[in-house]
Amino acid sequence: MKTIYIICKYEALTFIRSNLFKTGILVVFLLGVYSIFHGKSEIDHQKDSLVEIKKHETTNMAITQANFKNDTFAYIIGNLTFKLVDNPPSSWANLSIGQRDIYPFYVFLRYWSLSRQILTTEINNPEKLLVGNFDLAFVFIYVFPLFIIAIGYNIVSSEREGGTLHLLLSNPISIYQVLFIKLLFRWVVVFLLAFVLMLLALIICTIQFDAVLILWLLTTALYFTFWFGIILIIAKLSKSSSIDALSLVCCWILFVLIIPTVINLFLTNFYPPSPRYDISHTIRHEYEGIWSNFDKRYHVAQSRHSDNSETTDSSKLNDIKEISVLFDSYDEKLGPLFTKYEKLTLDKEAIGQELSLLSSAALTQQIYNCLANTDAKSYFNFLEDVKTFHKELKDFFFKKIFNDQLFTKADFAKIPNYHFKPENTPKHAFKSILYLFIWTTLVLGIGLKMRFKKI
Amino acid sequence: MLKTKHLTKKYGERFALVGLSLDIEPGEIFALLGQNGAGKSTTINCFLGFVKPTSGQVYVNGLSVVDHALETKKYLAYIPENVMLYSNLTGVENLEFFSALAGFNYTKKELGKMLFKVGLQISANDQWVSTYSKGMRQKVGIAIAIAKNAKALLLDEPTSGLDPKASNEFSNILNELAKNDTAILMATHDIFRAKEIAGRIGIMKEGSLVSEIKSSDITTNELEKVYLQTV
Amino acid sequence: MYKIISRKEYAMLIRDRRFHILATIVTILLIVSMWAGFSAYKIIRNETDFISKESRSHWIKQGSKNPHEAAHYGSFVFRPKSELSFLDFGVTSYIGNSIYLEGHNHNEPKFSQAQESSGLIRFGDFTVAFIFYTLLPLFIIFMCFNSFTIEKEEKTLKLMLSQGIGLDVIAWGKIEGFSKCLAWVFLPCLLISFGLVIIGTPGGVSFNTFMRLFLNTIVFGGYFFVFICLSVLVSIWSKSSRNALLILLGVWVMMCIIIPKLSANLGGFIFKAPKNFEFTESIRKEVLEGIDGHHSADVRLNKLKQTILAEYNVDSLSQLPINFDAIVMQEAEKHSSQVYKKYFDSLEKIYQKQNYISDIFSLIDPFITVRNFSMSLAGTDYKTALEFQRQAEQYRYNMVEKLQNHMRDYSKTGDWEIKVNENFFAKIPEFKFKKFSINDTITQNWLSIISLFVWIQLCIRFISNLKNFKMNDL
Repeated sequence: MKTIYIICKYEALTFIRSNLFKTGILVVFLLGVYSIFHGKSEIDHQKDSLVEIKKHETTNMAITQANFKNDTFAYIIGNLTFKLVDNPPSSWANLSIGQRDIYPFYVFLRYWSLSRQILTTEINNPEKLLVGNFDLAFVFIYVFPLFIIAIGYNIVSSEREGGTLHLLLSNPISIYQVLFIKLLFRWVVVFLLAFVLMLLALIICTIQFDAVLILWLLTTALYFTFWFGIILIIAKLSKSSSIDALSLVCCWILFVLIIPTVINLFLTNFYPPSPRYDISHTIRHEYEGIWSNFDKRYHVAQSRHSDNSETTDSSKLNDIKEISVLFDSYDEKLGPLFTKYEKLTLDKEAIGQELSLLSSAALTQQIYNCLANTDAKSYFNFLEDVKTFHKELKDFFFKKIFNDQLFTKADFAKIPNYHFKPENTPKHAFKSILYLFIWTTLVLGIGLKMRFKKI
Repeated sequence: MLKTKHLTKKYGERFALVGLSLDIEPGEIFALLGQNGAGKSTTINCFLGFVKPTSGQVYVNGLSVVDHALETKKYLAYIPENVMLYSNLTGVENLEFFSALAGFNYTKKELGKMLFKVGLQISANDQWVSTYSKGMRQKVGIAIAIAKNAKALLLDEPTSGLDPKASNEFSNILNELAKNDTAILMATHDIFRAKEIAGRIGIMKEGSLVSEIKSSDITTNELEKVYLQTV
Repeated sequence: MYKIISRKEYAMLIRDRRFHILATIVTILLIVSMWAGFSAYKIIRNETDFISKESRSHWIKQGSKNPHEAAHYGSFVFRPKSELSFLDFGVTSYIGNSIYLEGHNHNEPKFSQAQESSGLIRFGDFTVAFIFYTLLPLFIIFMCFNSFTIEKEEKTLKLMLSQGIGLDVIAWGKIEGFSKCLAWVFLPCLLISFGLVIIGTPGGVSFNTFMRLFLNTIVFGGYFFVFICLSVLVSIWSKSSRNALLILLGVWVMMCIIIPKLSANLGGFIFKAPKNFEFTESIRKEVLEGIDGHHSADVRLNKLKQTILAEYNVDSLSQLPINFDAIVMQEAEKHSSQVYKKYFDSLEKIYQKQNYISDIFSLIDPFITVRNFSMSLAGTDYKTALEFQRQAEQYRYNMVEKLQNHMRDYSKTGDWEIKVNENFFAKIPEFKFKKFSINDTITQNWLSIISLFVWIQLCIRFISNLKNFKMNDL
């Protein structure tokens, strides 16, 4: 115990006096702080967007309601009713933006054909998408391992090359103890730095303390420990400090750059991105089938420049009923195609997730995104919500249209509203955490088991 | 106190030590002479446990080094040929660190005293070791060894890089330690100093002890002659 | 004199086990990336070709119908894969693969690869270019970091200098030696990729493609030269091999990982792009209200009516020899296209400003320079994608115009029975994406070219100045 204290005390002293360490810690800290603000600004942008649409929805409804005089046909109000179905960012999304910048996070929905409304895209700068987000997850996954390598690569080799190792070991302490204590000390330093950044993030982004925080910290601790395990193994191979640094950077490249990108390449080859022409073609073809009957009539009506107010004759009402039925079968026809591609993407995602177990960095990214609900799964859950809500909205108006009920003032309050239900515990993160735990134990186990090649 | 029995160390096909048997009593200074590669440093490394013997035994204070690697080091102090220290710690801090590892808590004053005793100028005490010369580092190394209050002292060319005055002072310190029952094993090239301070002198060649001489039985010139004949 | 040194360095390095291991790894990675990239390219290209044909035949065989309905029916365009795209995927993964072209609406490209990928895509694409601009600099650093420090540590440098050789001569010798070794990795890869380009391009490689590949070689060559010089210089200035390695690794991390990401994100942080909803709403509103907001659709319609009636010298629409409905629709199309273009251009301007920030960083970071240039040459950069979108929009407008004009000229107002058939649809030409010429690409990348040139100049200057280096400084 006393030995631990002594070594840690002098390690701290050496660190404080080392310019490399001071610069390193400052750089990592500043990058971390920047990443927090960056993540917040990106997520705030999305939040603002949602607030704006919500406001739009409210004013839209207010105007409709204000213009409402007598009871009228339900389809007229239905056509004017847009409802926001959103997938608001969780507070953890500030720290791990994940795929949120790629997937749409809201649909402004009407009661008619879902297929025509669901294929939205987010606008974004592709060059920015290409380099990815500079969020805290990036700093933890990419930058921290480099910092760990920078302060730990020569943990024993520096003593050997500096000539202090023999003098040190002439004392009643073994090289294993020295290595272990030094690693432990560095681990604490690194984790504290990460912890401080986490606290800052909690304050800056006003994140609530909850179970996710524990899981996030656990993941971070496991990931860092993994890298210390690698350092342990390299240190025990007892090469020169230059070779140590080279090997560690190679490990970093392997786990952070090569394995994830190669998995991705593999996925691209086996699931090549498709222009999805079948779905696009069906969407327009079937749509035309519906409209070819009606479109002409309206165009003729329009060209007569009769007043723009909706006609109330029964032929129109019958048209509406017919169109509604056709749209419903349209959605039904397209359903399998949508499901096909959804399934394809989910399969791809699932295989990617399984293959991610080859790289601790990919696993960690997955866990962070999963905890923050910013992964592809979250998007597809959202799509399900959209479908459910659309059905609710559609049923509401259809009931009135097909029962020949008029829309009354009181009905405004009955129009369904969408309420986002946050997922409580991202259960699918547990498996990845388990994988990460196995990686870490494995690496650490091998590292601890190994003997020094030389002293 | 320091004892080896038929100690043999093989590196691949090459023998570094061949059946070396030594026995150094408390209070005795034993000097090992020999050319580079004769096995002097390997012997010292065997006592420290850095080198695992191929066969034979190494004992410190009656304990086998192989079986009690950590405990035997409590009785040992070691000064390498070229003392290297933590360069961004000061002399005092280095001394404090190593003595603390050995289990001693000295006050700043006591540490200063020890450094003064080995002849380090007081102004250097609180400077970073990176500014030290080789001799200054060597002196701190000696202080570290003294601070450990060890029962046995292992010296690997301890006086290399010391000026004659410091060298002389070092000899005095060794004599003083020996008087307090410390066993000292010193590997050296310096025939003159070996004759002057050691009680017994061993000459090594190709890993074995070829002759062992009591220093009181021989003059420096004769010793030199024997040395040259042997190697 | 430096020939001797270069020969010695080359001979030493080519026998070095470290070189063998690293070169083998890099070569394997290059082959994997090339093979996988090329096979994905072929699959996607074949599919795109097939689907383009299918889409065309759907368009032609849509049955005889009213021209305006045909405009509604619309057609699709698919982003073609450029011949060099397997070398560098660029931003293409993040841009939709197809655009639906129809009357009235301006659709965004849909179905990007990123949307159907797992989160792993954010780690980047494993392409030849990725290996070239991220991993090869590291390879160079590993080979060169101790080129001088080891000679200093073993005191052979002083020995050489005492023979009267200038430090700059030694440095040039080493640089040449290293370059030759690197060529063993770089050139075979280029040859293979050239072979693949020939295989992958039905109908022969165009001069444009050939020039692009050639320029690619030069750009990467220059980039590697900068890294070799940088490594050698750091090795000269460093006290020990370890320091040199640490500094170079730090430089690598900054140049290849942190700064590119930081600069692109900084751009987005400073120049905020409008929100998607805001963007589409503004367009919708302005289409409804008229460009300056004063002329609502009704006012415009009346004005148009008066003009046309006056032009044909008649009093009512029914007397017109042409179809007024078609004129109205075409006017609306023209108007909405203008509005759309205005907003689209302003959005692009913001993106360009964002990207400009990272372009400025390219002056201090050759990585960004080479990445942008390589994307550009491969035809997978944002500007090319944008050009595709512009041409598709132009094509859409022309297609709709042609249909509406036919309706205008061959029917009378209120006549919705007029039909066009297969022959007419076939007359509307197929969409062909006109790629940037090599000159365009060079002009677009002037900043990159200058920055790379400046870097190379600086390296040459620094190395040549080494002859004034004092021996004591070592």
